[in-house]
Amino acid sequence: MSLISRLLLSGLFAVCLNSQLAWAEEDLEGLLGGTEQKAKTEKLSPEEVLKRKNNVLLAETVKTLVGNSGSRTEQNVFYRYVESGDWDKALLQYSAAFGATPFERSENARALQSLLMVKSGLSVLGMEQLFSIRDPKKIHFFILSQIKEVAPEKHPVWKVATLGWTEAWSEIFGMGLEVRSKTGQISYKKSLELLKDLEKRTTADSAERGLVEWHLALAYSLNEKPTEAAKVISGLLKAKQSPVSEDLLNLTAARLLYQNGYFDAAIRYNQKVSKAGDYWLEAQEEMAWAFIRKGEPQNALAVTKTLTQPVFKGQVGAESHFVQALAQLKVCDYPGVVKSLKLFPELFKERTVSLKKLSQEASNPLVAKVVTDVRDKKIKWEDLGKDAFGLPRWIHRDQKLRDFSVAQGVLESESQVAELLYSKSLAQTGLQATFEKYKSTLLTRAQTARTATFGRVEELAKTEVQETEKILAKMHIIEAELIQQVSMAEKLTKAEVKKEDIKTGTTGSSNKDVLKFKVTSDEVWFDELSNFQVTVKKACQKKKE
Amino acid sequence: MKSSQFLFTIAVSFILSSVGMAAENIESDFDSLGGNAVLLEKAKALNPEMETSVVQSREVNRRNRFELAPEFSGSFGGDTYVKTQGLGISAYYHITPRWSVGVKYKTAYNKLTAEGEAMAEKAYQDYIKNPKSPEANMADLNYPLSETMAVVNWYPIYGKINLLDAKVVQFDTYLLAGSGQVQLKSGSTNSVIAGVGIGFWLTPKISTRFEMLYQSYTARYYSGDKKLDLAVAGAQMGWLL
Repeated sequence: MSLISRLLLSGLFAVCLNSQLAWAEEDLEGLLGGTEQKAKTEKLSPEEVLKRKNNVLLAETVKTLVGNSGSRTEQNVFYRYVESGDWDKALLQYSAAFGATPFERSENARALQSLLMVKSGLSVLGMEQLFSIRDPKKIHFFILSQIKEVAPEKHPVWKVATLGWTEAWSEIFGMGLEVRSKTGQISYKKSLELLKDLEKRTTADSAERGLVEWHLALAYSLNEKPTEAAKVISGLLKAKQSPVSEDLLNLTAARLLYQNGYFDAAIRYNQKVSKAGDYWLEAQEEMAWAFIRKGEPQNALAVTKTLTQPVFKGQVGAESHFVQALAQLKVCDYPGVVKSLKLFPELFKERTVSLKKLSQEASNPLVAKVVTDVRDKKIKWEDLGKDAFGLPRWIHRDQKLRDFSVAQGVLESESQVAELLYSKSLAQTGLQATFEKYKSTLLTRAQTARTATFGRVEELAKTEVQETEKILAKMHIIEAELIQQVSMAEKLTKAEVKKEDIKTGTTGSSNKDVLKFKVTSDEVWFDELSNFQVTVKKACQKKKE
Repeated sequence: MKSSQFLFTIAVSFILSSVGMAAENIESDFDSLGGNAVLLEKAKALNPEMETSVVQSREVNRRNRFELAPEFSGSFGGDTYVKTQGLGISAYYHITPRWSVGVKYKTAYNKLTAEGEAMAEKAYQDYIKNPKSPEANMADLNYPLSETMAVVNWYPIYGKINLLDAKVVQFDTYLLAGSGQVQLKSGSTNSVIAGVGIGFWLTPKISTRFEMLYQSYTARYYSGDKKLDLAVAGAQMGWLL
């Protein structure tokens, strides 16, 4: 049965049963002369009445599925809890109501228990239990529709729970969730075929197709297939529904072009990355490298003049300073190289030492705050405040960290729910081993998620330390080259400047009507960033005495 | 047991010392970078002669664009006894950011200056005292009623200002020249104007201009024609179409 027909049937089922059901519980009370409950019901809002009717419908559905097996009394208690929406009590009553009945072993029973778990706040365990059902087609459509209602597409459980997707589940929950769930846990090197298969199964121009194509582009790129990756990126740039920002697409396109030696095109794509976006500094740095590779160090210098502004301290990595020193060396700006070499330890020594400490132990109040912040909202580097100087520079926008943090948040809150349920179970039904198991499982998983979150911060710090160390070694090579060139200066420098030695800068605005200002001091205006132009008139020349 | 504790202590202290050494190593690596003062002196002898500039786009495109600007102005000089203020509108066509042509229309609002009022009061008092043959002189007044000018603007100098760190505004200073007709109380006369102005391009749609102009025209009095030289200060709020 297709999903649509199941849903239609579910609606029809609801309408029919609703018209017949006369609030069984209240009718009984009415027969016994109690009218209070009815009066209360009348005060409910339309949404609450609908919810209540759904609950009654669920209880009736379960009653039909159970039949005559098991303890009637315990089951009636269960149904009353379901009807009144006391989900945790219903979950605790579940074993007493259906234990050792043929129904308990059915797909419907497990799905019902999953629903109760999700409704009680144990969404991760609930969904994992649901997905462990081998034949989902045997689950009653009303139970399924209730699960879908309580765990919509944007519910964090879909990011956190480990689910075994099959085609049957995709039919029930839709391709969107399957794609999100599968692409969230893939290894790009190994998952090319899986992504190709998902691409075929998704609808053109849909959000899920966009998401698959984005991952496919990354997988192609990491599997040394740049042409295929470029085709996919180009499609995504034109697509109506892109899973990532246009800036990230442009940056990725620029990287692919650079990787294949198309430096001019790479520069053009890097220039498209917006100044206000998260990726602008990276695009600028990569543009500087493209200029170096093109043999235009004067333009690389112009770009790095923006990157090395004090305002970006902490946000710009060591590599930007290296590319600046390299460009200075290439145009024989030796005083500039010396200045860059002196500045480098001032900017990175203290930071590297503190990052090194962080890479060994990241669990501190500042990191904990950032971890919570990235979980709840999209933040910018400036939002992190002064203390951010000692944090990895991409901490605020690392997707893995965000995912870990979300998982940590969900699991921590669910472990609290499990603890509460465990104590309630002791009071309501006596010790139930299942709830003790839930509690310990969730506590362990929350702890693991917390370790993974802080581990990710440690990993980011470690990566940045390693990157800085490599650049530091390269800066020493620049210094050695500088010593060599300066000592050979008499031989290397030319007496006269030839026209072809002049390196005219081409960076800055390419507009017809530009404003041109000479830079004479260190004062930099924000509107000038990324608009610098450097022209080298006399490179590698001996100064006249 | 004791020996294993001893080994464990050694292992831990080895790990800790190696971590410490690694930290020290990297610090000394940083310290040794760029510390050669002699090198710096030698490097200074080599001059690459670089020119660093900022090349940025204009915030407001002024190619092939119209601008409408209501104006308020005040005149200085001219007729001693009359103070003239004007309300008008200017329409410009920007050919390029350097050149624009335009038309200005202005209606004048005149009132007597303190000197003019004193003179009128004196004449009035004299008239009350001696209505049959008043002796006090009343000056011959002539003042503008409206004017229409065709102008050409040349914008040779540009710049930008920082408005309290909230916004950077680009501006152009310009020279302006024009000619047209002034409708005086005594009839219409030709006029020429020349001056300087500054235009701030606040947003791609809104501008503001301040101008200081010299205006010259010949006015007819009972005593004969008289060439008047005026200074006109004006402020405009423009809307770029």
